[in-house]
Parts: sequence; structure tokens; C-alpha cells
Amino acid sequence: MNALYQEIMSLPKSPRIESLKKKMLDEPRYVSIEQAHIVTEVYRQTEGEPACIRRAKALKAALEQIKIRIEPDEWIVGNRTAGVRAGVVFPETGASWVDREFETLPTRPQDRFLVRPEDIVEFRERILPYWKGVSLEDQVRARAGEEVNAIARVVKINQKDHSQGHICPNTKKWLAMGPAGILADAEARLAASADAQQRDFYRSVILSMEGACAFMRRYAELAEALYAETDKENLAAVAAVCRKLAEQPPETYHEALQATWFLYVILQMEGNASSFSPGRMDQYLYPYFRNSRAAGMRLEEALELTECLWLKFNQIVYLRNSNSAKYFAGFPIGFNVAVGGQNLDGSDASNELSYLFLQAQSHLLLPQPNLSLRMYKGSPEQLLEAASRVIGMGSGIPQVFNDESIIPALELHGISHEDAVNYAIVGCVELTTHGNTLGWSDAAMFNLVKALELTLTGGIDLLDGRQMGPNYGDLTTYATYEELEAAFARMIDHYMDRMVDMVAIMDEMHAKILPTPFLSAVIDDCMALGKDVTLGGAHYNQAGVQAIQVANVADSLEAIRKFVYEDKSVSAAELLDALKRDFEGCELLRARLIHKAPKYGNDIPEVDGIGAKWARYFGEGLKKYRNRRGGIYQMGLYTVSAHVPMGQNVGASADGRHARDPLADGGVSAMYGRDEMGPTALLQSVARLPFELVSNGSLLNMKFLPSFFQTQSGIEKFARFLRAFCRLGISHIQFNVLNESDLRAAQKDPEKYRGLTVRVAGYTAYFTELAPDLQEEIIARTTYDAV
Amino acid sequence: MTGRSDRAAVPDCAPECRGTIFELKRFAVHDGPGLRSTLFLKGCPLRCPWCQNPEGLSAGIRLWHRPRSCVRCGRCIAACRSGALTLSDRVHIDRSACTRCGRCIEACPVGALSLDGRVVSPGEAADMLLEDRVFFQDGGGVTLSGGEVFVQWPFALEVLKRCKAEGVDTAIESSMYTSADVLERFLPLVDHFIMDIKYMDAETHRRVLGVDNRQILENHARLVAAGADVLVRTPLIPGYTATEENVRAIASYLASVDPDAKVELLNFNPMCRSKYAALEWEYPVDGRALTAEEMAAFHRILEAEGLRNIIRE
Repeated sequence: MNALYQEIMSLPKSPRIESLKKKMLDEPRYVSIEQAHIVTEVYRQTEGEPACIRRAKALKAALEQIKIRIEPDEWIVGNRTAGVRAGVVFPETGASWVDREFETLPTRPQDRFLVRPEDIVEFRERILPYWKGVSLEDQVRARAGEEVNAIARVVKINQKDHSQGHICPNTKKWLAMGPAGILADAEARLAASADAQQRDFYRSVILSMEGACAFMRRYAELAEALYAETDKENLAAVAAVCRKLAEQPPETYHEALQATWFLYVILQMEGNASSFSPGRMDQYLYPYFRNSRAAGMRLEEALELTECLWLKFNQIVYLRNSNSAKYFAGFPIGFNVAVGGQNLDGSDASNELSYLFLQAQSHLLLPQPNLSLRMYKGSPEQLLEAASRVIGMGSGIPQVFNDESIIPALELHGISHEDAVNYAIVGCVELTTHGNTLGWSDAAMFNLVKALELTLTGGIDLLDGRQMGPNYGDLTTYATYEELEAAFARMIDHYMDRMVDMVAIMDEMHAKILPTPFLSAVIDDCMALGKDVTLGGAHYNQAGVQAIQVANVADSLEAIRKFVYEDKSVSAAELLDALKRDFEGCELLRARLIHKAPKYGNDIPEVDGIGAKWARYFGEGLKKYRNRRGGIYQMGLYTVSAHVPMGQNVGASADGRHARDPLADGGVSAMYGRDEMGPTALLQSVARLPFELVSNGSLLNMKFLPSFFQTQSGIEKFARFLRAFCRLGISHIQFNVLNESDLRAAQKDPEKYRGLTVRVAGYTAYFTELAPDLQEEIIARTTYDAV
Repeated sequence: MTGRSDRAAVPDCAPECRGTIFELKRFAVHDGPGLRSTLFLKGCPLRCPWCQNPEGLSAGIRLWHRPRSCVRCGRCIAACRSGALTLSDRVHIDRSACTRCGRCIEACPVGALSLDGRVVSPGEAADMLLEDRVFFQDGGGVTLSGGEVFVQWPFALEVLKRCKAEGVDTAIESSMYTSADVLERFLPLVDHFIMDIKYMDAETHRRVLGVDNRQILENHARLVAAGADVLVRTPLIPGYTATEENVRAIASYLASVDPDAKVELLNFNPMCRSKYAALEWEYPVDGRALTAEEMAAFHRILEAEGLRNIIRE
């Protein structure tokens, strides 16, 4: 390894960081209604004004009034509440569900928060009444609730009671201009525009940036006051940095890190969205790093500053309703940071910061930032080995993305070559360009396994026997396998039409109720067009839909094809009856379905091909539509933790899965326990999927035992495994590195394992904070060890 | 996208040449450099009491039953036409009556019955090995193991030829219990020889393993003389090979041949007990894996004898 990189990967832990980390993890999480108060007051006073102005005034008031706090040892400061990891109530998007669930938040199965009783009273008396019928949630329910519920078991429509996130802002621009520079730009554009809507937009940007400057000055003042009390040199530095950033763009590494963090805090205060991602920080922060190095900054100092920011990424979490928390467990906030990858000319892009970020992760082993390694055929061996070592430490980070398949997929979906090469990851595994996309990555999740169930039953829901969907025939009436396939295709088409209508309504409601001027100022081309991002001001405007789940569809169809149509060893009536009875009294038939039909994930071209065929059908089908902002629909193949609740919506399936059992995890993974040929066979199977169509992102989970990473030889072999993954053209892979006894011990004694993180598909969560069924799920997944 | 290429057909040297194999292990990481696929050939002239792969001892093919998978539905009993199966706490196999017709395997709904081997042509074997060739770049390849590879040497030779013709790195794991003449034919086709030296003492070797070690040591010398890449492994079996005296004797011999010889001590792996249970055989080794401290002590013996190239996995 290059000596400099070797030095970075050997830098020791800092006592300051260890103590800050402990303090952060020890602090209890509370629900906070502070911002809700401020916003509600502003809304009361601004009735009749344009939505974007009201939103900007509310944000500005919050930035000027919200309580702030600085830890005496911090180098990087700022949060959206004084407490860390608070669950922020955001009544603009949803107040009714908070009212329904407030008392259960400390005890619900997933993502608990403590509650102050007086907050419940205040919320119900002073906040809730204003938002009744006004919040996004209530307006969506009034407009589309019936249809959203009617299709829910097949299509889960998202963003009904919270903002759409999954956005990578133009951080480079923010660093180059600062809030003061953007404010000046907006003023100039305001003066030059005569269009009323444009002028409102520019005014809303100006208000937001005034708030941002004020927020930074407040931190400067607090740091000065604390410095006067404590004489700690870091506080003097913090005060100077914050003071400067309120007026000017950053120049040093410390200033750039602080400026970056202010951007993401303010975005969360405005949007309260799942994931604003920093993207390729090792690229855009590099000039600042070089400046400071030239001025004498030591690597230890750079690492400590970086780790201070890394801690900050863990201090904002996301309060979801209890149902949504099941789908996206572990309150992921998706600060996704990409390292490595390539430059526009194809040369390797990694630098000292790529290694510093990996080392920061190896020291902290926390769930955020969600670190993503971008790899391509030219990725240097030392980067792969450094990343492999960090993966082997068991936090599931970094996950690995493959330029070789992602860049062509993005270009095939309308992204310019320049933007595609500079892609970043948002949220868990969703793909984006830098600073000019509103990708609406989680528009909906489409349950193909449920659509197949309705195809087999003539539209009857196996869970309650009701006629739920259209009747195109049933398993006993399809004379051939091809007829069954044709009916399945019709069923998918039917629900896709209904889904697109609902997504269009969500898009429209967000534009009407939730314009986001601060965000729009850092997404190209909003400023040039004078148009908010929710109205289509971004350069790229996709909507992403997840097709779920390849493994169960492939395994089920293959079992039906083989037993009913090819061997004719099971009659259609017998199989349909067994599914209706959830295999009760048909255990041997179920055993045959599981053991005697080929399964996806074992490098068997025929059954893998079925999964590929239906993924392709779905991806191509989406191309018929345009979203409300004028962009395309695109497919993703990932579920995060949604394979558990989505499985609860599906009756018994012909792959031998019981009713309500989880679907295959991740997105493109095999059904757990059904991939028996090892990791290379799984990768060969997955490689048969049409990744060129999966431009919204995909997710492959694999679990390795830690013993694999304990020797240099193991690290090298793991790096070779990654090289083959890259050659195979699979877009994404991530690794759980753990053993069962770790997890059993953590279940028994959660207090001792508070820092234990595991991947719940696509992001990392604290294991002890997951619901018991998700914990079991993780333990049950196939384990590969080299025996 | 699978990374496979169309392979030019290589004619069999003898059309009737077939081999009996018992397992293909993909993602093999301990059978030579890089990521590999390892094919296990049946039949072995040695009788190591601790054998990890008892299914590889016999060259013949037998019916296997895995009691852990069995649901005791009795379908196999009904399907059997030779009365070879009986059901009690598990399915028992009368091997003298079993004709290996496969009807019970077909009838079993859970896959608890299987044959412990199958007969394949060299072309089929090479195809299986090369399925994962996309993983072999960066220094990986294919490995033949066993059983004992040299028991079926014409078949093994043919498989290796086909892999070499594809430009793939090759290795064999063997006891090296074979004739000089046969070994000679393998030299140009094998990139890495991985061989065991289990006992240095000739009498112990004969008594415990059933064969002499003279040929093994001579073949080791031949490989060294030919400049082949050789890794010598010694399995550390409690109650058998894992004695200070034995390890020192092996180390001393190796150091006298070449202090830079690659050498690896393999810790005892008790997981093969489940295979013996399936065969309804007693497993004679009553021991556990060695601790890190015990392994380190044996490694120190190697170092003390002057060996410089110790592989620690």
C-alpha cells in the first residue's frame, strides 16, 4: 500500500471522539415538538400567502428560534434540536398519525422514542387543531385515501405523510457560494424577473438563506460564550468558523466540513425527509483538504475533524409512523457518502479522503454515514483491501456499488455521460446524479408476489377470501403455462396503471403543500428557471418504483411450471387448494415445492431466467408512463426491510412459503436458505438480471462470518470476490459480517450491545433497536463460511 | 454477463474414460491461491482414521441418508423394489441389497436421500470446474482433490488438460502416494501441488494409515527437484499427528530439503463427525480443534527447525 494511505489506515482512535461518541449514545431519544410550535405559529400568521413564502418564513423562524446546544469538545456543531437523535414532529406533513400514535411511541415494536407527557398535551391543544384537514396526510386521505387503500396489498404508495427525500444537493455550489452568495444571486434574479411565480420563488429562497445565515451566527455566538467560560481552544475555532460561514464561503477543511454539515441540518429542518445525501465527499472536499494540508494540517487532525462530522451524521434520526417504521426499520436517515469511483476521463478518483473516511468508519462503527464504495475495473487494489478490512469489522459498511453496470444504466435512462460518471447514492441504495435531480426514488413498492397470487386465484385475496383484483382466470383455467404468464402480465399492467395515477396525485400534493425553497436553491436548474423543485425545477425528474421480489416470483413460477404443466405430477386444483389452505394437511406437497423444484440463486439459468424475465417486463412496462414533473418512471430492485411487512400481505406461495412469511430479503437476494450452492453461484444467478433497467438501484445482501477477514489472505480473497462481482455487472452488494452467537447474545443483553450495528438491507441499524422478528430474520439468513 | 466463454471442444483421449466424483466445491478459498473451484474424486488407498471426507474413501457409489433432513414419511420404503430400506428411528440401508436404482431418491420429498458420487466424463468435469471462471481471474483457478486424485489418474489428467487448454490455473491436493511415472505426466499440467506429510516415522505411517511413506517422500523430492510449486501440509490430529516429536521430525526433514519450502499446519476440524453419523460409522477421533496457543506452539517448532515460509490461514 502507498505509504501515505498506509499511514491513514493506521491512525489511532482519538479520546475526544470516543468520549463524544459515548455521550451521544447514552443520551435518550425524545420526541420533539419544538419546531412544530414555531411552524404552527408562522402558519397562523401567514394565512393567504403563497405556500413557498409560508414555508420559507416557517423555516427562517425555526432557524432563528430553535434551541441550540454545543458539546464542549466538539469541532463540528449544529443540530435541528438541542437534544440528539430526537424524533421531530413535522405537522405540515402529518399530525393525525402523531395524534393516534403519540402514547405508543415509547413502546411500539420498532424505532421507539421517549415522550414528555406535557408535550402530548401541548401538541393536542395548540398544534394538532391547526393542521386538521390541512396537513399533507389529511389532504391525501381526503383526495385519494380510498384508492390508496384498495391497492395497498399490491402497491404501497409512499410519501403520504412525510416529505420525499433521497436527494443529493449541489454541495459543491453551496461550498463555493455559501448562503450569503446564494442570497445575493437570488436578489439579482428577483430584480430581473417580472413573473409573479418566479418572484415568489426567489423571495422564498432569500428568506431561507437569511435564516441560514442567522443560524450560523447563533452558533458562533454560543461558541464564543462557551469559550469564555471554558477556555477550550476548539470552541474558539468553532466560533470563528461559524462566524465566517455566515458571511463567506469556506476555505479550510474544517470550514468546509462545518459548512457541509450546516447544509444538511437545514435541509432536514426544512424537509424532514428520509435522506439528503452528501454523495462524493472525497471529491468535492478534496480541494479544501489540500488547502489545509498545505497550511500544515496533520492527518490526525483531519481524521478527528472528519470523525466529528461522522458523529453528527448519527445525531439526526427520522420519526416515522409505526407502519412505515416496519418498512424502513432502524430510523434510517440515509446520509449516504460515496468514496472512490472514477473521474470523467476514466482514471481512478480515490484520494487521501477516501481512506480517511474508511478509517473514520473503522473507528466509529456507527450506522451513519451510510458509506458506499464506488468500484470499477480500475479501482486500486489497496482501496479494495482497505474497504474489505472495514467491511470485515462487521458494521456492514461500506456497501459496494459497481460503476461498470450503473453508469451505462443511468445513461440508458436519459442521464448525460458527465452526470452518470459522477453518480452518487441516496438513502440506502438509490442512484442519483449530483445536485440536479429530484429522483422521487421511493414513489411506490410493487408487490409482484401478490400480483401473482391474484393471477392464480382469479383476483381473490388468499388472506381474507375477498374479491380484491380483476378476474382473468385462475390456475385451474389456464390450459398452458403461457396462458398463466399472459394473465400475470395483465395483472401487473392493471395495477401499474392504478399505481401511476396515485403517484401523480402524491407529486401534485407535494408541489401544492410542500414547496422546498432552501433545497431548490441547491438543485440545478431551479434557480435558473425560478421554479421550485417540487414543481419540476430540477434538471432530472424521475420517479422510482421497486419491483418486489424477484426470488419469490421466479421460484413460484418455476415450481408451477414444472409440477403442474411439465411433469403434471401435481394438479392445478391440488396446488391451488394447498395455497388456499396455507399447506395445512399438505406438508409433503410443500416439501416437494421447496426441495424438488430448482430455485433462484443456485446458478441455474432456467429459473434465474424467469426472475430476469419478469424484472424486465416490469422495467419495460414503466417506460409507458411519464411522471407529473415530466420525467420518466424507473425500476428499482430493493426492499430495505419491507420484505417483512410486504410478506405479511401475501398468502401462501408456490415456492413453499407460508402465508404472511417474509419475502426474500434485500431485493435481488435468493429466498433465505434456498441458495445452497454458495456465494459464487448466487452471484452468477443475480448477474442474469437486467441491471441495465435497474437505474433506480438494487440491493444484494450477503452474510459472511468474521473469520473470513482475519488473515491477510482472507482480505485478499475477499477483494477478488469483489473484482468478480464487478466483472459480473451486478450493481450493488453489501455484507453482514457476524455470527449467530453475537446476535443471540445481543438479543439477551441488549444493553451490552448498544453499539452493535447490522445491515437491515441497504442501511445499517443498531441490532438491539430492531423488532424481534427482524432480529430473527437476520439470524436466519444463510451464512457462508469457508469450511 | 456470466463471464463464460465458449470453449473449443477438446476430444477425449479415450472415449470410455470416465471418473467418479463426489463433490464440486465452489468458492473454495483454502485449496490453493485465489478463489477456486475444487472437484473431489472418489477412492483412496490411505486409511487415515480422521479422514474428513469418508465418502471419498471408497471408489464405489453408495446411497446416503441424512437423518437431519428426513421427515420419516416412508415414501422411500414404498418406492424401493429390492427391500433395501427399513424405517425405524431413521431410514436404514441394507447396502448388500441396494441396487442404487435411484427410485427412493426420486420419491423423497425433502431430498434426504442421495448417492454419494456420480460418474462423469472429463469434459463434464471440466465444464463444472469452469462454471466459476469469472472468479478465477486475479490468481485463482481449479483444484482436484479427493479421495486421492491419483487413484483415477487417467481421468484426472484429462480434466487438467482441458482446464490448462482454457488457460486456467490448476492445482491438486494429494497424498502423493503414486508412482514416479504417473507423477511425471502431471508435472506439466499442474501449477500448484498441495500435499500432505502426516507422519515422518515410516513405521507409524504404515501402521496408522495402512501404507508406506517412502513413495510419498520420494515424490516430494521429485517435485522439489523439478522446481514445482509445492505446499506441504500437516494435519494436526489430537491423539495422532499432533505431537511435538512428529511435527519436529517433519519440520526437520523439510528444512533439510529447503528452508524456504512452503509449509502449513492444518488445525483439526471436528465438523466431519456429521458425515460419519450419516454413514452410521463410528468416528474414532475424540478431540477438539487446537487452541490458538497450541497452534502457535507448533508453529514455533517449525520456526525452530529453520523453516521460513510458514502459511498461516
